[in-house]
Order: sequence, then C-alpha cells, then structure tokens
Amino acid sequence: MKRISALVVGLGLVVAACGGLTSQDREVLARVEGRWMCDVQRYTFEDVADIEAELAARVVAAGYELADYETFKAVLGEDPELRAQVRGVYEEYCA
Amino acid sequence: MRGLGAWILALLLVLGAATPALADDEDDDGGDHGKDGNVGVVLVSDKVPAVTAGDTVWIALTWRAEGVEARNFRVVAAKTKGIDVSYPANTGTYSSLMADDTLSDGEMDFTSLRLSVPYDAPKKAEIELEVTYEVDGKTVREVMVGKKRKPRDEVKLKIRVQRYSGADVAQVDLDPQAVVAGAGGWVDIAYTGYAPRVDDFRVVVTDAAGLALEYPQGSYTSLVHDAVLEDGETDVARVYVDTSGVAPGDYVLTVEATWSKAGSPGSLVGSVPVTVTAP
Repeated sequence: MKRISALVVGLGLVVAACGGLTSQDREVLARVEGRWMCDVQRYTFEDVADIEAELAARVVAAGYELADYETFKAVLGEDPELRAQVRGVYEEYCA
Repeated sequence: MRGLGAWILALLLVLGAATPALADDEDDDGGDHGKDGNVGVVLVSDKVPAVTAGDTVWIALTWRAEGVEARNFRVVAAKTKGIDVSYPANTGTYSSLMADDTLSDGEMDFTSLRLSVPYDAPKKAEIELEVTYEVDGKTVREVMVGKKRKPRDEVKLKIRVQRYSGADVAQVDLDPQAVVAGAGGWVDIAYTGYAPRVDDFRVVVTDAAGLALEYPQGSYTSLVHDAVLEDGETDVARVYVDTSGVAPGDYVLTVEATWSKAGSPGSLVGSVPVTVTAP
C-alpha cells in the first residue's frame, strides 16, 4: 500500500504541477490549439459568437470541455515548452 | 528502507522530468528568437479570406511573440479603403487578443476585426493596421509579418471583394395556413435572404382571392424583426385575413415582395395558400 500511495502522490504532484493537465491532455489540446490558430484566420464569421462556437465545437470534438481548454490556456501562458508544442503543430498543419 | 529509497528516487525523477513549469526559468524566452536577431511580435500571415460586397463579417489575424513578452497588445485600423472596420464590443475602439492582452514569448493568439463591405466596394479593399504593445514597460509600434523579418510600422492587408450572384430572396414554408371562418386570423409569409443584405423589405397582396385583408403598416406589411433581410436570415411578414361571411374552402393569395439592394429595386411574386375552416 505504501508503494502504491507514493506513486499516486507522485503522479498527483506531477498533474497538479501541470495545471491539472496530463501529458495526453497537453498533447491533444496543443493539437487543437495549433490547428485552431491556423484555421481561424482562413474563414470569415458572421458574429464573434460564431468564432467562440467554432472553438467550443473543436474542444468538445477532442473530448474536452471548455473549462479544460481554459486551464490549458492558463498553463500555456506559463509554459514555454507547451507554447513550442503548439507552434510545432501550427507549422506542420498550416504549411 | 531500500524499497522506500527507490520509490523516493523514482518520484523525484518523475517530478524532474515532467514538471517544466516548476523549473526555475529566469530566461523565459525559451531561446525562441527570430532569425537575424529580430525579436518582437509577428503577424503570422497577412492573407485574409475574401469577403462579399454588401456583407458584414468578422475575420481573425493570428500573432506570435518571439523573444519578448508583449503586454497591452492592441490593433486598430489606421486607414481603410473600400471597407469599414469595427472592433469587439468589449474593447470598442481597438482589438486585442482573444485570451487576454498579453502574448508570452512563443505564444500564439488572434485578434478579431469586424468588416463591413459596401455593395460598391472595389475589387481589392485595403486596411492599414497600427499595432502597439509594451515590452518591459516601453511601447513598441512595429511588428514583423510572416517570414519576412523586417519590422514594419504599418501592416497592410489586401482583401479581395467578391460579388454575390444569384437570387436575393426566396419565399419559404409554403404549406397551407388555416383560418377559421367568421373569426379571422394572421397569415405568415416567410422569406429567407440569400444576398448579403436587402433593405426596405415590403410585402403586398396583389390578389386576395376575395378575402378582406388588413396590413400592420397600413398599405403594406414588412418583416417582423425589421425591414432588412441578410444572407441566411429567415423572417416572416404577416397579414390579417378577415373571414367574416367567407365560406370554408381553399383560397390562394398572390403576394409580391419588394426590396432595395445597393439602391436597386428587387421583387418576387409568390403565393400563399389559405384554408378557411368551418367554425
């Protein structure tokens, strides 16, 4: 039990340090974000609400909620590696 | 103890490998400097989607900070040609980034602009943007565009304006509407807009099939929401049918819708089936 508890605590600390995002969350949301940064400038939108709705649809389609995306954006501002990850997705997708 | 020590070591290794946010990152530029030593904010692409004359749309411009943390980021249209620009309601006189007004080094975000394209807009409209942001408390008024590293004081966008061709308006929802004999009732005439925008929309019944009618506006009726129909919008015009002394049966009203598009008149003749039912 002590070994399992230590591992759980360790993983919990890792997740907490990443703003509650697992490495899979980071990878998936970085892909959503990188592609979104490319696509958003390709289209016109009838209203600002349509921009928000399109983003929300992409987040949900990736299996996440908007609250998860907001967490991701908060972490993004503090994490240069995550920002580099988003840029990598953007450059591969938007070339 | 040996087992416990191994787990502690494993925990430390996991923390060290997977928590970059905890690292002491005094140098927060991540080594992400622009080429030739240029640092600052980059407009990732100055290519803007085509717009349609007569339409009003929102566009987004994506930005990236390189080697700097850009605060209080603002974009305004300093000059325009053939197009009008406005901004999100929460900022009013300028546009800032979608998430907030700060771009951290390497971060990407976009600003949105509302474009109103008059029907007589030229084939190529232009917008000259003025971009300002702060780095270490100092205001910066230049950005880089795309892969060109040269800083610019102005960013010029060229926007292709296309012309809509096709039907302006269509009458929709043509199922018969029931009105009780002797009681009277409102009949809806529904229209969907296809052209970017038509104004002064009016409907008159040119053949009432013997039924007595009343218009909300006296001599005509207009759309419930307003007298404007935009692309993708469906609205209804209503007319009151007086069925006093009218025998039950099927009647067909002939209606004509008229409107103005870019100062030119348009019209559409249609029909509205009405079933007068027994009381």
